Amino acid sequence: MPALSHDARRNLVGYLFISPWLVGFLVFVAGPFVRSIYLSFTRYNIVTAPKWVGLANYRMLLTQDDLFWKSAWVTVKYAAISVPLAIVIGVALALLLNSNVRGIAAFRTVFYLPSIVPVVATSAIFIWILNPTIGLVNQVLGVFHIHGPAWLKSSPWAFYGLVFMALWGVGGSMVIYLAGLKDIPNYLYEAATIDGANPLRKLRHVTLPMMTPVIFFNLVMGIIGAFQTFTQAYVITPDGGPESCTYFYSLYLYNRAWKYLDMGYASAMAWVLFLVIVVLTAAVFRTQSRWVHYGG
Amino acid sequence: MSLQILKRWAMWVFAIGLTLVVFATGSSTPRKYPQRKLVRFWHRWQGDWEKQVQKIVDAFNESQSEYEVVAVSVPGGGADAKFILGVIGGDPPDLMSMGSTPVANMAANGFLTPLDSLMTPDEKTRFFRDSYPGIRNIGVFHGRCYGITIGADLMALYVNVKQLREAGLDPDHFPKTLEELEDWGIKLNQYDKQGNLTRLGFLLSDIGYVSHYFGGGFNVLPDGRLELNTPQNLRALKAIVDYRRKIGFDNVVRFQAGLNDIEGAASWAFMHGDLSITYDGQWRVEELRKFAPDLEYRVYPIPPPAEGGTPLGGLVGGNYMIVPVSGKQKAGAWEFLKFWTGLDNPDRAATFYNMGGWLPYSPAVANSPTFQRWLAHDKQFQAFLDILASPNCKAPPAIANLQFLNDLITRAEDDAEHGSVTPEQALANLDAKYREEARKRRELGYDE
Amino acid sequence: MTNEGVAKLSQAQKLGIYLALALLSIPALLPLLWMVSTSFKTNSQIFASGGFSFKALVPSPLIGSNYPDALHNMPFLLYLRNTLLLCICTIVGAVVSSSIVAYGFAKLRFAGSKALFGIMIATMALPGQVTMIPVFSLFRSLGWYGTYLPLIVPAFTGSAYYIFLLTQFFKTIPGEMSEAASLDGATEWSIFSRLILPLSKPALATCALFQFIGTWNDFLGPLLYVNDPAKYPLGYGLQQFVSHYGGFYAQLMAASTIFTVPVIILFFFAQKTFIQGIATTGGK
Repeated sequence: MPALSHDARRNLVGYLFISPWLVGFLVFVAGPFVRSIYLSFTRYNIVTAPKWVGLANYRMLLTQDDLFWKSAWVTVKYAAISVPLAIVIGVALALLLNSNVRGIAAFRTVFYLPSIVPVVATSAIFIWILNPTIGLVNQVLGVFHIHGPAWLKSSPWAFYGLVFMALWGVGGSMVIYLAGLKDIPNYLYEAATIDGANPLRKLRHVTLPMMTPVIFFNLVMGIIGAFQTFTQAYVITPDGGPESCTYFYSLYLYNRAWKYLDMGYASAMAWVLFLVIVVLTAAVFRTQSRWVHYGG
Repeated sequence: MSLQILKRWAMWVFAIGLTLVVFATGSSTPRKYPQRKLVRFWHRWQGDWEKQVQKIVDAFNESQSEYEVVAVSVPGGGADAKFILGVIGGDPPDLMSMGSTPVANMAANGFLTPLDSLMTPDEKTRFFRDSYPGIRNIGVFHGRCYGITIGADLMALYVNVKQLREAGLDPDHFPKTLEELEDWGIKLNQYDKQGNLTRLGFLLSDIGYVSHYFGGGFNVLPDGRLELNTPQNLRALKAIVDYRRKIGFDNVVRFQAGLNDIEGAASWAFMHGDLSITYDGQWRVEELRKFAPDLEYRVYPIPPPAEGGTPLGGLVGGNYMIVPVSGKQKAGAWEFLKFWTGLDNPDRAATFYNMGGWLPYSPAVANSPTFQRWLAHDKQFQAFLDILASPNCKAPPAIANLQFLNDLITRAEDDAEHGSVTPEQALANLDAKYREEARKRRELGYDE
Repeated sequence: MTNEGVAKLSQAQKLGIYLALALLSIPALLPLLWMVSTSFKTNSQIFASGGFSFKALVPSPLIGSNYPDALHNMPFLLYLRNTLLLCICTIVGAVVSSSIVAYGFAKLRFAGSKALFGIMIATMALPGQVTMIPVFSLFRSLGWYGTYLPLIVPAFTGSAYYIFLLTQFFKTIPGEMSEAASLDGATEWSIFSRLILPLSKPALATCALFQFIGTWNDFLGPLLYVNDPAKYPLGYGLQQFVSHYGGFYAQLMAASTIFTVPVIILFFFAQKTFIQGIATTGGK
């Protein structure tokens, strides 16, 4: 009985390893995805059976819906600003929290805290901090004789308030960066020291390059997450904010789906978003070879 | 080194404790009357109000021996989704309290049981004859009644007596016109040294409501057309915008942001004296009695404008009690609902309404001895009853896409207030956008 | 034991670091401080007009009644038990399955692996709201509505997020080690379990932490699939304090604090495990 060829065996082993995900995908994910694509070509108000309308949803979305463009723009702006900021701050924080000083564990906990506090509490706090008259931010600005804006109640400051809020969640990515930092093998630093490198050069030539795999991860996840931002907007400005400046795409999608019961249209919106994210992410993946440095 | 050992011990203790807790306690909610027919009731009241609802459920269960109502409170966040999924999932509860949003839509598509089909002819007559007009018309879609509201809401003015007297105004001779009220408001405003508002006298807002005082409103006419961009609505919007401009829009926004009050909690700015005259719902009466019994106040309906206004106008909002078409125990659901509304026993039901400070469904309940006794120490509630009884008290338009319209209205008001568009433009946009949406829906095959 | 990548610091440097950390900690701590301080106030105290300032962070008078009230208002131990049950199951499921799959994608070469990886990443790009109904229908037809199964079983099929994360970590492990091992006749499975896994403790622990927090805070899943109040987890219980129809803010903060403290403790003590550097062994 001929043994499996080397290639066939390799494929078999590979598929065996990924089988948990593959099975899950086929059973729980693929079906709903396909159904959702189908729904995007129908008029579907959830309570009755869907009715085929072809490209009508997409056509209306792209040519007759100014709220679509508005919410898309809000979301793109948000992603463009918050993702790079989060990475820079996250990495900087991780580097700082990697310091070998006593009590660093307590500090790490402190910075991770905002990610653990329930959204309810965090939202209330932000509404307080950004309060125009008695909030912390405007009080601090007042010290410099700057008349702070009415943040969450005015445009475009509500938007920046939400960006500000996004940075609060940086603790999560910080933990990943820390794990990545600890993974950097010692001998690289030793070699650099032998070469006479100072700390800044070590940072540039050892630390950062070795961190690129996790930075890459957070970049991709950051993009995917930012484009789908929903919870903060929903909790703090469920009506889309002053002059709709915080009317995020996902919030509009939610309204279309569950408030107006226009699920077919919402599905079309979701798939447009999907395409955009996939294209962007694929582009980022393509740049991998240029800057991501895997040890293996 | 000992810290290490300590930590390890701590982890073990934690792990063992964990395991114990996990496997220690029991499982399902037991039923009190397992031999009776089960009526499942989902609602959205939380905290204190949930307890009140439970009392009502208990009272019902004790009053008869055929059904047992089991109430489940579904918290706010995903409640809409859960309710909807419950209905389409084929295993809905027998009675649900739902916000007004999807009801018309569901009714239009045959997902709700017309409640009048559950009533006996006698009950039907009595219900439609006895109920307040505003309440009777809520939940009516294409002539059938699909929802009855237990928690109906109305708004009126709450007036801080002390602050009025301090400003030289007489709380017993309240303004009869809106213009006079605005003047009072300006007299009551207080500012700090930098010119920021520290106390707000009166502010007109919420065009969906206010438009009714101008003889307008976003109503459905008998021929099915929707009134949106009418001269009356325009007047209302202009009044809202102009008033804000007088005080300074930015000033108003900052002040309101500083109020930070959360619905339902003992946090209402009126209680703290930040608002002299404010516009709020009838449930506040009970709250004031509980949390600020020393605050002297009055309730007055909003005075209409001097010209062309409608007195005692109002828009009734609230929860609808609906019975899904695929529910299993509709008879039981109706019995419970009937019990709660007070159709058969207004006096007993009065207690229920009083618990939450809710509006009664009929004058019979309002005039019952129990209700009158409660009214004696919540005198201010009478104003709400007056509004409820007035013919100008309306129900929201019964259209399937109501939520979309509401969002458009909010945005129009917001844009006009910010000054990015004039009131005329705001309403014109509103009208255009709504018609556009309606056209799109027709094209897609929704039949409204 | 110390990672030499972290240089030995001078006194001045240490001082500088402490200063920076202390300053930055203030905004990070604010949410928690506000939450805890509110939990010790009465409801009317919280919103005393104009009352938001640093002074307001210190409750006076300090009342402790919110905590017993909050605990009284919900069957805390029951919810805790339910949550822990869910957490344990989902953590085990997620970590085990995700690491296995990640190894496949990271270290093994097989036909279509790139395409499948891409598909996996793409599955995260579709907003969950539009698949909620088909997924719900799916679980209903499987008969899992009303049970914990919809919340637990998917964890055992790996989550794209963790798989992606672990793939990145596995890829940083040099290939020479695995090659050496397979030359010695080891199967892929034993390379995976005996070599790669032990080297990846930090990453695995990170996934476990995230899954714990995810399940601990999860509210929407139980909301949709659980109908019996005896089966509610803590996240659901917490939501009941949030109200549109009458709630108690101070108790909400007390409940939130009770809700958050175990996670904080867990994170603090477990830090060592996942931020721990890997012991340097030969060849690395």
